[in-house]
Amino acid sequence: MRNIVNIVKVFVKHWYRRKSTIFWTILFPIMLMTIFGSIFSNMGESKLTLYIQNQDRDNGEYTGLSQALMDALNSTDAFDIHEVDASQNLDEVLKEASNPRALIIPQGFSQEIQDALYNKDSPATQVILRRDVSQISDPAPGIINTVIRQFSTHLIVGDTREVVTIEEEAGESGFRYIDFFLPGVIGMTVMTTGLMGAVSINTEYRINGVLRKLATTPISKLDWVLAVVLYEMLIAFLAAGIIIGLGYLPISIFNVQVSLTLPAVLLLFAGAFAFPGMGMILARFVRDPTAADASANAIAFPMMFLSGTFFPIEMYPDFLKSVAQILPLTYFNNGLRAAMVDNQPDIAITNTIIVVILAVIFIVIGTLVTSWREK
Amino acid sequence: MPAKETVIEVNSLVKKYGALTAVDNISFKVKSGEIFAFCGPNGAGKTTTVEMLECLRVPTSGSAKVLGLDISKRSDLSKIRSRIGVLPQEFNTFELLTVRESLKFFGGVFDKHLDADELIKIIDMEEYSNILYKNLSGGLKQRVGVAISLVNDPEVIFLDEPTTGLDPKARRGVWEVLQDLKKSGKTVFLTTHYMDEVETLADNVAVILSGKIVAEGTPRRLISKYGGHQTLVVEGGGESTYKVLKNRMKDVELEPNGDVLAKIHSKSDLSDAFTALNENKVDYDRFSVRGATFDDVFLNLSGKKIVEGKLE
Ligand SMILES: Nc1ncnc2c1ncn2[C@@H]1O[C@H](COP(=O)(O)OP(=O)(O)OP(=O)(O)O)[C@@H](O)[C@H]1O
Ligand SMILES: [Mg+2]
Repeated sequence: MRNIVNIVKVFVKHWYRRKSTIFWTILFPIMLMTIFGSIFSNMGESKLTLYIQNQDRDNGEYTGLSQALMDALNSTDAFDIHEVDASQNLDEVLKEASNPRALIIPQGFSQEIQDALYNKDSPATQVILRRDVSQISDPAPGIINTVIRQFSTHLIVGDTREVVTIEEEAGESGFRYIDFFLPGVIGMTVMTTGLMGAVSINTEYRINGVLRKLATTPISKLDWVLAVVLYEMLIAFLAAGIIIGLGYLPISIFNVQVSLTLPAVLLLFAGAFAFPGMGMILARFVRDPTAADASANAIAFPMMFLSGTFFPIEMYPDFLKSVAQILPLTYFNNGLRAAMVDNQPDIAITNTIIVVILAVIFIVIGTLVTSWREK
Repeated sequence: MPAKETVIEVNSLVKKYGALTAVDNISFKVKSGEIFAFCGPNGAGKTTTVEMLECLRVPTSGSAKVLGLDISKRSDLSKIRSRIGVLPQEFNTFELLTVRESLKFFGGVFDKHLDADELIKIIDMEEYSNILYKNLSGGLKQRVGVAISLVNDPEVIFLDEPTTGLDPKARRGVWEVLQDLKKSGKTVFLTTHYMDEVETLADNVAVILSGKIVAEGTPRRLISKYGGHQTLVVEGGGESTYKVLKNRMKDVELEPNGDVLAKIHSKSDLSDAFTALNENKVDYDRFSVRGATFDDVFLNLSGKKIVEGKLE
């Protein structure tokens, strides 16, 4: 145990004395999050979805003024407008929506405007915009505001009063790509740091002869394997921590507040053991240093793309779906998503169990096959 | 001090790698407190032999005892390891640790260990103790390696080619450290393909060729037995001296620096040479007679010279 701790300490010293490793562990995930987050955060929304619930009716018909406001919004061509009948529960509708954004025109809208037109002291009428307020880059409020201001000035020529104002309301947050992507980035980062880190540490120290020296001391093979795995786990936790931390920033492209439930933490531990374990096995069979790095890449990159890191596996063609079934990262990603974002404990626990089993298998095989001394 | 006891005893040791017999039935003894050189070209079987003695490789047959403990007995393994020091061939330690940090790390591996600063003093590197290993010169790196092999205060130290690839000054630095070790009573087992290293350091030497020991003894004894003839050196003699001597003597060579070397086979050779040089009024700087060196021993045993480890 003392040996393991001492070796891990040495690795950590190398980590912070080697500037490039700091870059990769810390900056790489941030870069990925920024790039993918901004590319996909408004994915598929060429027109802004807007649900309108017009509660202002007269004999079952929309009142003239409320209808005029709807027409004005429609004429901007910026919105894909869905009308929601006043009898429907708006919250239910928005829950299903991928872009939950709704404008509510309250009952009495028309009447209040008319009052205001004849009586300067009457308060302005309010419409309610309910939307996911974490979407800071959302252009919808600005557009609606402009439309309403024009709508007001048309009504009362030569007057600067605003007879209609917008009241914003925080609503449901719908499905956002970043919710899907953030657990994926965590999974991917834990996998790549673990797998590639273990391979490169092993090759580096075998090539430069440090392993040969260690083998002459009472340090055992198991000490070495566990030290490598433990160190890679620390690095993976650091990277995962940074990503999770980013999710707490009030920047819409990151903003995902994950829940660190027990399965989520267990899963992170299991993943942080499983992937370096895989690396130890790989390092044993590929002895040439450049080939070792190349083969680590050759495994890590396809696995990254095929395990539902960037896109849901349901979107894959059938044969890739079956490939995803045999990749450890698939279970890690699915588990993380279920535990951290989707709040599905059953799925989280099943996947956690699978990853724990894989971790044990990889570590045992990795230890058995690592060669410590020449025969 | 008691009479010198045997600390390493090797009997008919054999190591085969498949069809290749890398170590072929060798036997020798190493006495306490001496520097024992194991000398041979690349691929002769030096590393295979030391690593068997260090319990890192398993012999195919034969036996060996280190400090009275059997290298093939599992129960003796950890006892042997705790009492020996090892500098592997092409040694390296963690490159981004300082000298002191490395020594502390390796010290921490053993229950009983020497203090880092004490070791730094032994290798005479006080001013480098806070320098990262990767920033040291080759010679200093090897000295760190020697210090690391001493962390557990071993009785026997195995050094596998500790000066290979170093420049002459760096090699002398390592030699000084090894001579100090000997003074402090340690037994040093050293592999090398440098003949001057054998002559300078070794109390006893075994020459190994293709897995077999072809000669063993003190360097002095081997030189007188296998070294062959003395050599007349005519410094600055050049082409003209070379031509004159070539007519009178059998083995004459012209070195690139202008020195002429002539082997003295009989007593008359020497007087013949001078007569010829005088008669022809040849110009030269000075002359000297050089005894045989360990290079000659190796040349005569193998029929070849070693240049940077390779037989030529
Ligand atoms: N693990 C191994 N498997 C197969 N053959 C080996 C192994 N180790 C060494 N050999 C072979 O055994 C012979 C002796 O090798 P060894 O390393 O002991 O020589 P050496 O004297 O130390 O040489 P060098 O000066 O190059 O270090 C060589 O032919 C080498 O190729
Ligand atoms: Mg060798």
